[in-house]
Amino acid sequence: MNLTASGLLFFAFAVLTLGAGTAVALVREPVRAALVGALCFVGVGLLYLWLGAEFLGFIQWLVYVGAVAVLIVFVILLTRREDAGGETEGGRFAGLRVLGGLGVALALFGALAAAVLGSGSLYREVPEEPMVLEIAALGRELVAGAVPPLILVGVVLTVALVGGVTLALVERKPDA
Amino acid sequence: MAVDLLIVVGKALAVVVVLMGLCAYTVLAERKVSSWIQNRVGPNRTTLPVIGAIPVLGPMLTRLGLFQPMADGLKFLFKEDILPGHVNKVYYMLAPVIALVPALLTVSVVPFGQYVDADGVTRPLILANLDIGILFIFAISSLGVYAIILAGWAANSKYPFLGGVRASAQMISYELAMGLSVLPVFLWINTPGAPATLSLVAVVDAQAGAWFVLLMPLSALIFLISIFAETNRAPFDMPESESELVGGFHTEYSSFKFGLFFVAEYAHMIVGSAILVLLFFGGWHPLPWLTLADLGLAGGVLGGVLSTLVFLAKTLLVVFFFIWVRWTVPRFRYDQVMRIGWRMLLPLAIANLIAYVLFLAWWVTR
Repeated sequence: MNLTASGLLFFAFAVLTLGAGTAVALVREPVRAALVGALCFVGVGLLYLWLGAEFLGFIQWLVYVGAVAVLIVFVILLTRREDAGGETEGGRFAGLRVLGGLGVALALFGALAAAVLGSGSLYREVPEEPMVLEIAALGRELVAGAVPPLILVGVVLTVALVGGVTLALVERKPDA
Repeated sequence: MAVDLLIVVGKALAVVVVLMGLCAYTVLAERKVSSWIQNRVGPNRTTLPVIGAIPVLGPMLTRLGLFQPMADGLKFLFKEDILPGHVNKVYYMLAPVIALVPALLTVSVVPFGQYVDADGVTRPLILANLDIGILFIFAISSLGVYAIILAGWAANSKYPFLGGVRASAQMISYELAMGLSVLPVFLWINTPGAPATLSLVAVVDAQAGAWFVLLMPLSALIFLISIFAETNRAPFDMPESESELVGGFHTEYSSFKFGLFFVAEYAHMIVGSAILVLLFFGGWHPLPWLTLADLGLAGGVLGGVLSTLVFLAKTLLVVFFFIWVRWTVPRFRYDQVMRIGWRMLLPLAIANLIAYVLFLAWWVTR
């Protein structure tokens, strides 16, 4: 296997993503964990960009880094306790907890690995020309094949939005 | 290969240098305009040894304060850089860097002019002509909020923390309205079935006739208000409101680190103004229904220079509008900011989008 600049970039992005992901689980302070979580999302976006999927990559940044992760950080900042952190040291079932965590992690990894190996995409020929992802093609794919789930997700999001606005609306009674 | 790379680096450097220069002189404009609005004189003492001594020109430039930005820049560079003992050092150092990076990245997909080359092909002047330009801008500028959150949190101090929390809530709130207000523009320039684009160059090309501010004034208004909120400019400067939070998220910063935040704010403002001009005010077209090509001035170097000048003039007019508003309108209360964002702008933006979707659907199937 010959390492090209492109291959090196891939490894850099992969190490960044995996490293940040591991750090999320290992860092003790919630705010730091959320921040490295954002870094992990950045890494995933970089991997999309490396694959030539610009649209997906920037959507990943816009939605996950720019909105979801900000929301998580924001909520943690608002609800933080000064005395939090450090309390999980030791404890009665420390060994059991570690085992449980490892078990869940292994099961998840197994499921993901099975899905990737089962899809057969590992053995597909790599096209010579970089694939150009047209936004229109992406939209057609989404609208043609996946209309019911798309509408469902849309309805759920709209309900969430309306709920949020309603919560904001009822907070105050008329003043005078 | 190496030469191409050098040319790209050179272009990027040129754009960044121009942007930084614009930032410095926007600061001066802010000080001068504010002092004129408040019936003061503003900076009028700073001078240079040789140029200041030229008989008529020197005193005039001095009185206009044209040398002030250099003094300010040097001050930021050479002041003592205080590192408070109570901060999270790594994140504290990282925050100002993260503040400046999105501002400098977004400018790379902002087209600032175009010319017709010898073969009659129209070429835009832009660092990276991405097909998904506007998406890139939204994605990168949404990272800017991390600088403020990091600064507020890492400073480990009350007022910066409050500023950081305010800023993140505000930016999330107004991002929605901003994104929704831009959608009608891209629905308008793309027809169903044909290859689609999110490129800013295409938006300007589509405004050779009517500008989008005339076709969709509500979108333009919502976008303008959202830009004010996203750049934390008055009347939306809650995150750094000096009468409540000392300096907000940058209270604990000094010297060059503060300078980075300061420059980033102005860079955001300039890039935001540029995007407003590109989306709604016809980009480098001098007047609605009148392009440089109509005047026969679009060819070669002249076309490039003229279109850049027209674009810059419009952008600076919007920047002036930003400054004018800051020194005229009082700051909102925080609950007012949230109410404007969620109860007024967001429903308005959704209604606006639905209206244009229905109209365009009728227009296409007509």
